[in-house]
Amino acid sequence: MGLSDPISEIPRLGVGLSFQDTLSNFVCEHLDAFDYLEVVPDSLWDDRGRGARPRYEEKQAFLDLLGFVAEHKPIIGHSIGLSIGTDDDIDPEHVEQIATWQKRYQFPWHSDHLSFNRLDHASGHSIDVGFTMPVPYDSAVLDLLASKVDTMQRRVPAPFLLENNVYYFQIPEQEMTEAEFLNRLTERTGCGLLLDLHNVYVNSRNHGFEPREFLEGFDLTRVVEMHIAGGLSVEGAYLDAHSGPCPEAVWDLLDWVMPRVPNLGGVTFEVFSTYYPKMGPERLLEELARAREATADHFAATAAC
Amino acid sequence: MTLHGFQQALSELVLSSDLRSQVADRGADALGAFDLDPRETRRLLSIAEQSGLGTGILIHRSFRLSMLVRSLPRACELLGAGLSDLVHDYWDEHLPLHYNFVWESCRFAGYLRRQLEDGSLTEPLLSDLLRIDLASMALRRGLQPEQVALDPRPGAGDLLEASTPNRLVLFCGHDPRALLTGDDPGAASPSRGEYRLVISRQPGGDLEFESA
Repeated sequence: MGLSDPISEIPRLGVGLSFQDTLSNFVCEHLDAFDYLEVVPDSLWDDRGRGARPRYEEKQAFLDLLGFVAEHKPIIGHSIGLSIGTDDDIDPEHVEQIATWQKRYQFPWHSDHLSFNRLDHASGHSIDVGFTMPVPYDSAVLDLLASKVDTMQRRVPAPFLLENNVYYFQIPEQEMTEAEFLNRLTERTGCGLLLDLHNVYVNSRNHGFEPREFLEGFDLTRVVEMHIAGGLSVEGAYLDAHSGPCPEAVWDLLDWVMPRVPNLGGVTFEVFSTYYPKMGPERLLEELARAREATADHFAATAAC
Repeated sequence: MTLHGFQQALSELVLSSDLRSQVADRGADALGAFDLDPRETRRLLSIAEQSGLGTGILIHRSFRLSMLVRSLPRACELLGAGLSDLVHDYWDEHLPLHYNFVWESCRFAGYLRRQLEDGSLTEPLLSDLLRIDLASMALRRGLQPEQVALDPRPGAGDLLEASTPNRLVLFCGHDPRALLTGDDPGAASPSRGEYRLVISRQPGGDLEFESA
């Protein structure tokens, strides 16, 4: 990518908090506990679907909150609505809506998930499966994704990242490993990687592999952001539930990865809305403080470069 | 490449336990409706056998159910153990078109109201609790009554007064003080009658309920 690679020029922000509606009071009362706020834009507007006018109805209470936060902290967009892996044309209205929000809040980077959740059902309706379904790591899928990433990067003037997926079933006979696929995608398009360490941990537990060996296959210079979170076990599977504090294994993984991600801009802690009341503000403050402690040396060193 | 057909079939395996059973019974023949190449067929047959597909189904259903329980908490609590069968019947007839909480909750509320009207559901308090849940959702989100499937016309049976953005006056066919008491709204055996319930959104966002 050379000297002009925007990934190497992203700001080093520190530790972020992923916003959920039940965190509104926490965000306002503990602005000093995090260095940026990550929002899922799609959760802050109602999308009435393709063709509806107006299609997007933004929620004023959240706009007021973001306006307040934006006066103090950077805001990052982490979308769920692109469904970039769907075998269909990219949704231009969704891209424009993301571009509007990037311009409004000046996201220094923005991201979505390497997966699909929306598609045309056989009945003719557009459906949303409601979770991040895996795509096969094949060359044809790589072509499809590269084209869509190019579209995003042309239209939204901030580095675009894709998040490694969590998956509960495996697609056999794939042409590439996950690491090979993501390395080729980031190399071909210049996009960055949002490395979700809890996703790696979840996949390693459910599918039986060593997470460090897995991560050694990645070009970690493309990592701009990392996610950390907690999960829970249900019916023999470990779920990416964002249900509370990080497992120790995820903290260990963070320690191992930190020296290997020279272009890291931020580490974001995620907890789902429904689990936050049980976790409580004190425990959340502890997790954010621990994340700052784990990343302080790195951000101090890279900021000085 | 037939990726579209593969994604349709994979999604259907998550949405429909019937397809998973058919694949278990009939193998590739059960996937005949989808445009698949041989490798995609082999992939889907493998996925259908994996326990992880059950996890995916669990996540899909949990998320879909959580939208309803969060938006219609009193109605869902009243339905109790019967909720599971009801939502599965509802899901069999209603595809997950998108994850707009308001839209999906109104659609489910409409489904329940039709069940009440045709007599296939006989929960005497459900109509009132649906009205209270829908009105609460409207006030919390700053929506008009008609945006949450409440009929604002005089005499239509939902609202007793024209609304303001932060206040709705509902018709209740049972004593709202009993409807709103405790964690189990069905346990109070509220008196029947014609009551009014005023729900107001306070400056901090909390809702206040006043019955008469």
